[in-house]
Amino acid sequence: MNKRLLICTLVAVLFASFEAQAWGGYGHGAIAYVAEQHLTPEAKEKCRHYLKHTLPWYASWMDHWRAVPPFHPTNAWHGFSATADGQVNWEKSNGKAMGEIMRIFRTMENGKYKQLPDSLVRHNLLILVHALPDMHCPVHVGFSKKDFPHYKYNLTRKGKPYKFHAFWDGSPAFERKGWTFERYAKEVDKITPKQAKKIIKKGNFTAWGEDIIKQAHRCFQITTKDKDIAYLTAEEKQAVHDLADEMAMKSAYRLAYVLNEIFK
Amino acid sequence: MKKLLFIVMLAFGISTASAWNVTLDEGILKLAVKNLSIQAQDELFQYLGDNYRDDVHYLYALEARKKAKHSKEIHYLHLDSEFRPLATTTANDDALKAIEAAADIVRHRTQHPKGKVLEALRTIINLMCDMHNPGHVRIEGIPHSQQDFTVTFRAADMGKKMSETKHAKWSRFWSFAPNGFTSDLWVEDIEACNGHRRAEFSKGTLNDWAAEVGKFAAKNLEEITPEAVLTLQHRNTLTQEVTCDWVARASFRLTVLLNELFK
Repeated sequence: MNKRLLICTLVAVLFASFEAQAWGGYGHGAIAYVAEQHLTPEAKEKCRHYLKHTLPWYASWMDHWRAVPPFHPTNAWHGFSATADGQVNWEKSNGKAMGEIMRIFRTMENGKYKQLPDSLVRHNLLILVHALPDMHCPVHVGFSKKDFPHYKYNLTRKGKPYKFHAFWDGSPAFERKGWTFERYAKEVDKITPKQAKKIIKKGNFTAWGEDIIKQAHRCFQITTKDKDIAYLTAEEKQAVHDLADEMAMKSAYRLAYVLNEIFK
Repeated sequence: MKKLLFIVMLAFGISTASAWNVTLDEGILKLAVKNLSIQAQDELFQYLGDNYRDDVHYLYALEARKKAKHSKEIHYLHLDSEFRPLATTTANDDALKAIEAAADIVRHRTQHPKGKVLEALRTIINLMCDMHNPGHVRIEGIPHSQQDFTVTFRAADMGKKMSETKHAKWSRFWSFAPNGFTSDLWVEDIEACNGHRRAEFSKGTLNDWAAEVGKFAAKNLEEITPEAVLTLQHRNTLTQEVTCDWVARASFRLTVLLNELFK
């Protein structure tokens, strides 16, 4: 096995530890649904043209295909790494969500998508629809064990071990049994135009990354090592929803921004 | 182990009660009604209520309440090796024959009590959805189509977690319904995916449609057997990229049939 192949394999195996359904199938669908509500008519028409489906249909596409051999490299595109001082760790981000999203955006923005084959535009959209929200999931920020050794723990549920990562992946659906995407949008998407502007930050990906890293620390403050998720207090449950919904909305608005910019 | 299997089924959006879940079937009906002629809509609304969920799974609801006079085989097409309706089945145990019998009642609705016409319409709606599910076809000469079986597919070889073998029942294999989808979103999605193929999918007769589903199911049953282990790619392509075409066919053809019955 040559060195390059060995490195690719190691990266793939390492990221196989990421849960298969980041944000959960429900969370991804709900975010894509909200994003679709904020597309310009042109962007919506173009997305339908290339995807032949609504955005929620393909919201978890990357999770469904990551284990299929030709898509193994995408297994590393569901999160990104942070430095100890709260910056995007670009040295480690090549091939991960942030780097891939930026690369796709740069190759498609300002009408450049027209120069690409339809199949590649479609494939790029499938990645954006999933990876951009995925990297907003608090547990998809990679904090190094060296800098944050106290972040490596699991929770309990009714006294039994429960994965910290799995809990936060499913946080948009936490105690919201039966919620449809429409209900999620109705109850959670209360972003004002002023707030939306603040979220989008003029499309500054670096600023998005720093913001995600900053907010990601909160999940370790809310669900500390001693927490049993079956017995969270009302305040703690509210804190879980506040963080999950904030990040879900940010990802939805930023996804809509990226798609609107590509197809403007 | 059972709990694990249940979680896997939930994760893949597989309904445990029917061919397609009630939300999807409701979407099929909503789109079918949207595409109906005004005259047919007016006539239909004399029978159907506001809650389509009561209509789309009417037969399943009867079975759940143990009030069904039909066999559960009514949810399946039964075809010979040439994909023609089997002569030995009846309207009590075959989808196509039950639809034909119900259509006859609707066609001669003035001769029947309103309740009987409503029952017939609900039967048509429920079974037009079911008969377009490729996992709901029994074909003469294909033994493993005669009863439900477990479809096995293997995720790729990427460590222990990723190489798990997963299972789905053949009758529920053709299903990809992300949790959180509403019937309205289904309508939007069917139109986005197959709206441009409505005329193409609407051609033919009930027998043609049954034969088409049968041929498609037979082709897939060559590779998908109780012994086979599908690749994840194969499974994903069929469930995510092909199922939607059959969902669209069900809806567009329900429109055709109802337009014909109410013309």
